[in-house]
Amino acid sequence: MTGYDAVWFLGATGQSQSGYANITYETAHTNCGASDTCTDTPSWTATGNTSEISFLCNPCAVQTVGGVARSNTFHDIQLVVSIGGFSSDPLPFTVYAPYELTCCNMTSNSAFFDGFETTVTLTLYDRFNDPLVGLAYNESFTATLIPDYAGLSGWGQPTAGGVAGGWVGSMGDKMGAFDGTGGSRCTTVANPHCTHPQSPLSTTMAMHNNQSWQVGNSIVGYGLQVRTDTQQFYVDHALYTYPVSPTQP
Amino acid sequence: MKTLKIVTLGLFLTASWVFCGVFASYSVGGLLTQADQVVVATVRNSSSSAQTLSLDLIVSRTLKGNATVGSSIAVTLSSPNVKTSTPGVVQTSSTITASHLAGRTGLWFLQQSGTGLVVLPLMAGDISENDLYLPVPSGTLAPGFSDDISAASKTKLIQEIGAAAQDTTTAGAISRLATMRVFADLGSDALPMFGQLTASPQTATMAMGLAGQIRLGLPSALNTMVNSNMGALPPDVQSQFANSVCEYRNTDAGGVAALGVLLGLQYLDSVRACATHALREIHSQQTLPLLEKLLEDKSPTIRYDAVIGIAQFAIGFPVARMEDKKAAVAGFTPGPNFTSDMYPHYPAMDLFFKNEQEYISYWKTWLAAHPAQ
Repeated sequence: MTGYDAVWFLGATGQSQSGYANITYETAHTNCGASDTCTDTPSWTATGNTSEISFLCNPCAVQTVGGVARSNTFHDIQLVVSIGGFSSDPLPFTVYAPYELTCCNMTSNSAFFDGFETTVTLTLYDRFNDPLVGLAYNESFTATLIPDYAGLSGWGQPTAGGVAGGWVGSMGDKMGAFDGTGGSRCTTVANPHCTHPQSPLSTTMAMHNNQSWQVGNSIVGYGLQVRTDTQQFYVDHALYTYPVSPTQP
Repeated sequence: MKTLKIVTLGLFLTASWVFCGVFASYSVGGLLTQADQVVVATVRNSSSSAQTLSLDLIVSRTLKGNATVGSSIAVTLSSPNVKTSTPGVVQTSSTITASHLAGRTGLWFLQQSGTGLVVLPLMAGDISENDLYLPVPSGTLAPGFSDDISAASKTKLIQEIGAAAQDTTTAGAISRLATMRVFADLGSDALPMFGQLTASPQTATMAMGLAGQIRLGLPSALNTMVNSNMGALPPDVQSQFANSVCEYRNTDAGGVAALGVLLGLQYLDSVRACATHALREIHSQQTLPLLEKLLEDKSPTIRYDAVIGIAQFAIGFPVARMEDKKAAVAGFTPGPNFTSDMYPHYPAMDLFFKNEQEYISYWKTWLAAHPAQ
């Protein structure tokens, strides 16, 4: 048998991507001698935590193995292919899965004209605490914004987005409030006014917003959820509160 | 009813200019490979329409391609974040405003697309003007950094990054990009540049140099970090150091000993966690006494990483960089110490937390039975 010894579980709406395939192919090799017939179609069996994977066909020469659930331990499944009463050596197999998204390297800077921009970098880990890079991900907001400042106005609902896979540096999030038109809406429109980051940072809260993080897909709301938190907007910076990750322990 | 409509319209026009968006960074080594032209250039003219940004760049240095110094090249970028600067237009994400780019100098990665050139940004997702180029000083390269036109593109790129990291007008931006691992794929070719930065009187620049060296596995850099007064450094610098320690991979005895020092309780939890993670991934013979001691650590994650480090040594895992690990582990052949009961004792984190003693006692017993390992 030849093929990879692992596959990724990315949830029902996760998408297979480079380095994170959610299906893999195992090929049976008959190794027949000149006088052997070897006409049987190979049959496939799994032992161990078999509920973590799926077989597409059986019997068949090339098996498609899909990840259905996360492995509890490394190589907790064994795959065996049998032909004509002879069985292969077991292939130890693992279903990896994204698991935890931790924060934080967080910096707040002045925006171009007025207001602020807070940039956060986060790190994604799998269930074995190995950092993961290059996996598609997205954020979604589970509720409309919630005012913290009496008489809040001009502070709207942030827009959720996603990033395709293939990146190799780091992943992050931006939170901010500023006037991108070259005007001064931080003081003419917003209540409370937004400002460049102060020293020390302000303790005046404007609003907050409930955020959910999914990986394995760039489409908002799709993929495997790994984190929830609250985006807390102050008048001169933003930060996360109430982080929960992993969300599916 | 009419009043209500006006009020509603007013709210729509003035609200939603808070923004939030996810992004991911690319590394410059990959961008250098993808790009057909890489130039240091200043934006002479900029305009935008229908989510397309158009720039007229004046080239001052060419790193890759055949652009002539002093010539003008036209480039474009299509992105939903390209918006015109119309007052009153609501803004719900980062923007790329053409007028903000005029006069800016940077290092641009450009790719041929049909008959034109398009910008390859440093970031994907919710990007702004600052994410389109690498900020570099507008003048000639600083002393100590060479502008050798015959040098390889990668060498030139490293020189530009080093010079920008030392310039007061661009050092902050370069340091932030370093934190985002934008320079992570330059490899050992960047070691001399990082070495130059460690001599900088600017803390952020010095930290970038040291972190770059640590990330590339230089034991002496780890020792320098150990011997510095980390507690006196700004939190973001300490965080940068911690992140680089997480990626340190070298079995050198001096480096492993330095990681052992960083396990001390006087260090931030993030530093201790990253030192443990590095030891787990190095999992050499010399790391075993340190990992064994960490089985009793106060932090559950550190105890977990200690278990996995010992397991990886016993099973015979290959040592690999963070981004290469899954590929390196795929199809590896277990070492001579491997026994079939080891895999069930290589638990996922959540399983470990449910019954730590089962795994800790198994690996303690294994270590006791293999004192010479």
